[in-house]
Amino acid sequence: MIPIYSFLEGDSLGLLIFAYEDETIQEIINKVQISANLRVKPRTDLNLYRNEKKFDPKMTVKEAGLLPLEIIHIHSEVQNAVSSRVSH
Amino acid sequence: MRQRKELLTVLKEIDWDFSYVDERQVYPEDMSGPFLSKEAWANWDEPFKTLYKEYVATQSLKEIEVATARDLVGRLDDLQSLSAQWLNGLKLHSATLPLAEFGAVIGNLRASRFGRACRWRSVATYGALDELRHTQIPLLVMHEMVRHDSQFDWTHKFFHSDNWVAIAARHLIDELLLGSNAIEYAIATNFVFETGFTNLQFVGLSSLAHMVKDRMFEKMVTSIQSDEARHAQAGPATLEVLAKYRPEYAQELLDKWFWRSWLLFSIVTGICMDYMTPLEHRQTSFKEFMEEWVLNQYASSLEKYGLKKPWYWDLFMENLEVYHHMVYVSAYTYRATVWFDMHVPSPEERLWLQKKYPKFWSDIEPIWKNIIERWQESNIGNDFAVHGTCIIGFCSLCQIVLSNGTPHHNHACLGEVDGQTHIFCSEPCKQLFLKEPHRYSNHKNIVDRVLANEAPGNLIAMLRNYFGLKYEDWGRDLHQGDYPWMERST
Repeated sequence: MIPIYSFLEGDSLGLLIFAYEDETIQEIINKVQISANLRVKPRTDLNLYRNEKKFDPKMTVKEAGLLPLEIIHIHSEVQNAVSSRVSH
Repeated sequence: MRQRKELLTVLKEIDWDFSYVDERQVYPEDMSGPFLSKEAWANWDEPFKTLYKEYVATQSLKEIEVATARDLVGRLDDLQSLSAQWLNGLKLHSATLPLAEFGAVIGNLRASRFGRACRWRSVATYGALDELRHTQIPLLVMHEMVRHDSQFDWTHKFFHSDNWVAIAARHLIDELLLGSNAIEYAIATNFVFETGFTNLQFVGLSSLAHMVKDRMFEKMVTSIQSDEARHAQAGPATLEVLAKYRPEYAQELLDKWFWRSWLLFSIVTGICMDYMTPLEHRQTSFKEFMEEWVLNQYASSLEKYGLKKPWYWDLFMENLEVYHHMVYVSAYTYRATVWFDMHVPSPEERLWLQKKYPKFWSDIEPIWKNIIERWQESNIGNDFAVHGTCIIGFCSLCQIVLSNGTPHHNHACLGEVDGQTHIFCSEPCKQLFLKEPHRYSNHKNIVDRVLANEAPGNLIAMLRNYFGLKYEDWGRDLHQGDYPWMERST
């Protein structure tokens, strides 16, 4: 199991989720949304990003090369554009 | 009068002439701070100039006033008559206060030995006596409440526990009060913390206490503030010397401690003001109070000494709009992890918050709407149906949840020290950590402890076995989800 810090668009805090190497990126997105659904309504238009790089939802955690205690962001394309503007 | 003036002159000028050791040995940098010549400290001065006899007489009167207030308005019946919302704010505030004040006894005693000016050592000696009093008063006043509500036991228990809020508070307080040299203590505690931020508590919260008719709390904090105003004068006096001879170090300390103090006060005082005070008694928002009583004063003080605003000022101004709202809504969804009850802000309260915090409230509001919907689908009293279960992340510097930023742009970031990756809630926390990694890198945040098998990953085990919360004491929804304004589907 790989512990990963995840930040979901619209949420008020970062969560630690545990990912398996053979889980897909889409399953990770779903897992984060389930963990945060008390605060944020699940959506279907979200992607997983690491350092602003978007991952294919069909890719596995192992293929994506996600490492323990990394930060991932789950958000939409539109939000990505907004975040990029804010960050830079 | 003449005798008093002469005594004060003696008090300022009396000092040691060392014969068989030199000054650097008497005032080692680890304890005193960066070495400056004796001449640099010669004009250190503060305005109160109190003699011990006067100190005892004044303090004795204050003690009589507090005891009288306790007899008149501080008994169980008086406290029980206060609103439940306010009482829960008291639980939060009271837990963080008394034993932190006890830490300040030690910090002051260090300054009373290692401070470089005679008058400074004298002020710090009074300060140590003050802080002992500030430990005892809230312990005494809140102890009355333990019979009524065992959550008040956390007034004393808090700093002895491994509750996540206590870990965060201890991380700050230990460094601020126990781990600082005398100069850092004077700048961090006396100048930033006491001159800058405690106005929030002792002016802002005391006026709110007046509004909610909590006369005991009002008396307690105003009495404490009268001491703070005196011994805090060691701060500007020390800053004046440091800004003249070591301006870079002065700036570094100010930037560090403004940020660290901000995070604590934003949570403790911001939440008490904007959430725990009943709406009808709120006069100004936490943000307005900060702007009026802290920011203007702080900025003009910096200017006076030729120093600059912290490099993260823009981020801080964004924080002022949103940080304590992010923390409150997050903590509400993990309320069983704290020792006080919390509530969902009513539609009227949320309108007030929207008006006071227009910049980001529209990002916070959907979170509350989602929580309300969950309550509407759940049975009254079923707290865990409206509660988070996933492990949450904590900052490696401030040890607070990763809630810095906005719901659409969290500021969490990573940093590496000696091959080990750490997570931070924000860039200032990261920079402070990277600047002094020897101070911080051995400290484990909650996630580190869980991953090292030192703390349980299961929420209930965490509450009971690690955070020290008993079932009857952990935080719940103040109204058990039964809000008159909330329409229910069942």
